[in-house]
Amino acid sequence: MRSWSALPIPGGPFLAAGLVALLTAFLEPAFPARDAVLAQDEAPELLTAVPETPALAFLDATTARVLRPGAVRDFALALLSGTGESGTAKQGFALEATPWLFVPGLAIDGRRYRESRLAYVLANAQLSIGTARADGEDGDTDLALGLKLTLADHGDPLRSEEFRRALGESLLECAPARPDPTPSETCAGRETAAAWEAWTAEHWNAARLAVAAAWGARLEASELDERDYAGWRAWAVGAAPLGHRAQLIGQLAREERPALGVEPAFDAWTAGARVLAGSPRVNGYLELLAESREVEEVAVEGGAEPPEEDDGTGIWSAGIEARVAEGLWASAGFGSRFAALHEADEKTFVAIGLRWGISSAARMDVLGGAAE
Amino acid sequence: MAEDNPIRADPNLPIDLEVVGETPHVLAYRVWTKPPGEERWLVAAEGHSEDGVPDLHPIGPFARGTLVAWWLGIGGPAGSWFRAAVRFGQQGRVLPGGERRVRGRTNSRGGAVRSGEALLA
Repeated sequence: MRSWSALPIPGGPFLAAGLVALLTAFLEPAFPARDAVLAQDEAPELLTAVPETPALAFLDATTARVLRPGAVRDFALALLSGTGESGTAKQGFALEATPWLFVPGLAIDGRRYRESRLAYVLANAQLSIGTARADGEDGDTDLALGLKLTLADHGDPLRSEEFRRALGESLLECAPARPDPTPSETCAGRETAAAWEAWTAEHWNAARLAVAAAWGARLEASELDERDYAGWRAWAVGAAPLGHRAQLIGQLAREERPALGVEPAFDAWTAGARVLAGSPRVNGYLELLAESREVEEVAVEGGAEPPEEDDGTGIWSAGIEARVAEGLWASAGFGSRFAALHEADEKTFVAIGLRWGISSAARMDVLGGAAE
Repeated sequence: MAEDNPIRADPNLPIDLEVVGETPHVLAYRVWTKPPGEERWLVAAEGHSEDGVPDLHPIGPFARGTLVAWWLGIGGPAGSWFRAAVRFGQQGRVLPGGERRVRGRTNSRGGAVRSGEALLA
């Protein structure tokens, strides 16, 4: 699920700002002779959860407007809104849906959600569709279809009988003494958010495993019938607790893209791991991320076979991060970027920034999210 | 509002009241009845989906003209879609007008409330 609550952390921004200032003061002078830089420009980033919307991740696009229909009719209307009057695809369209909600007669109640792995995976399966303006030709549109599956999440409160019982009792306390034609949701929201916050804080380093994939096509002149295959991308992210105060996160990703327009074909593997130690609000981290990318060069004159270029790079970093809001972390640290074949490329850097989503488990994601 | 879609029930038989969740959300509920001519609402059933007690309550029988009202509290992920139903049946069958479906999204804190009222006719 996306963000289960939006409770601010008292003092969080001040704590984060303090950490960042402290680390900046100490770390910057520590690398006077090297290429110290602020911010990790163009550095690959380790994923601590699979992308919320794989279709948009495939397109490297973001949008604040994501349609999230909850019924078949709404789904059909949402799809229609993604096409123009002439039947062409609209750019900047994004849709997330939970497919099982559209199956007539299918119900996944709390008991099935807890007891059946298949029901759990189905309840959390998320389908996404997105479009974006293609690089190059103005009228072309890139279209992507994504699927995300949460295979396991021991930090999901709704899988806990104890959590559910306590929340049920709290909700019953919200029931009015007599019928109320305009009942307030304040009590139910407050009790749910409080229970959720407490549970997720206690289970911040729980084991989880999620996979996602997306496939793409380029639509010439945005025509749905004029498609060129644009490749695929897949992600797997797993986490395991290390005692009560630490967590190990692993990431594996694969991407294959054919040559499209002026963009050469390439394929890439990305693998990484991160160890966190601390608490749900502040932790130290150490991470390693490696990427192997094979780019097919464009054809050379004279008909010779184009060479392929191998590029293996990696990055390690360590630091401290503090949660400033639900799903938003401020981090400060240092590290080194290196190329496997070019020792001289090694660069040390100081990294300061904000990142979304770390430790924010992907449970029932499509059921959650901002209202649309 | 209650008279718009009455529940056709036999006044000589008890009613089986059932609260059913169709999504993984936690549900709590309270149901009241008010006999014709009375001013006071009486609690007929209450509980939640996790209390270990079946959410099927025999209530009544009730005279024609009795009002029945319900309140549902829902808890789950913020902004998530939920579905549930309140069913009134007799002798193992859902009564005409006796299935009241609720659906919607939880608010930004994960909670939602739905309520309704119907006339037993």
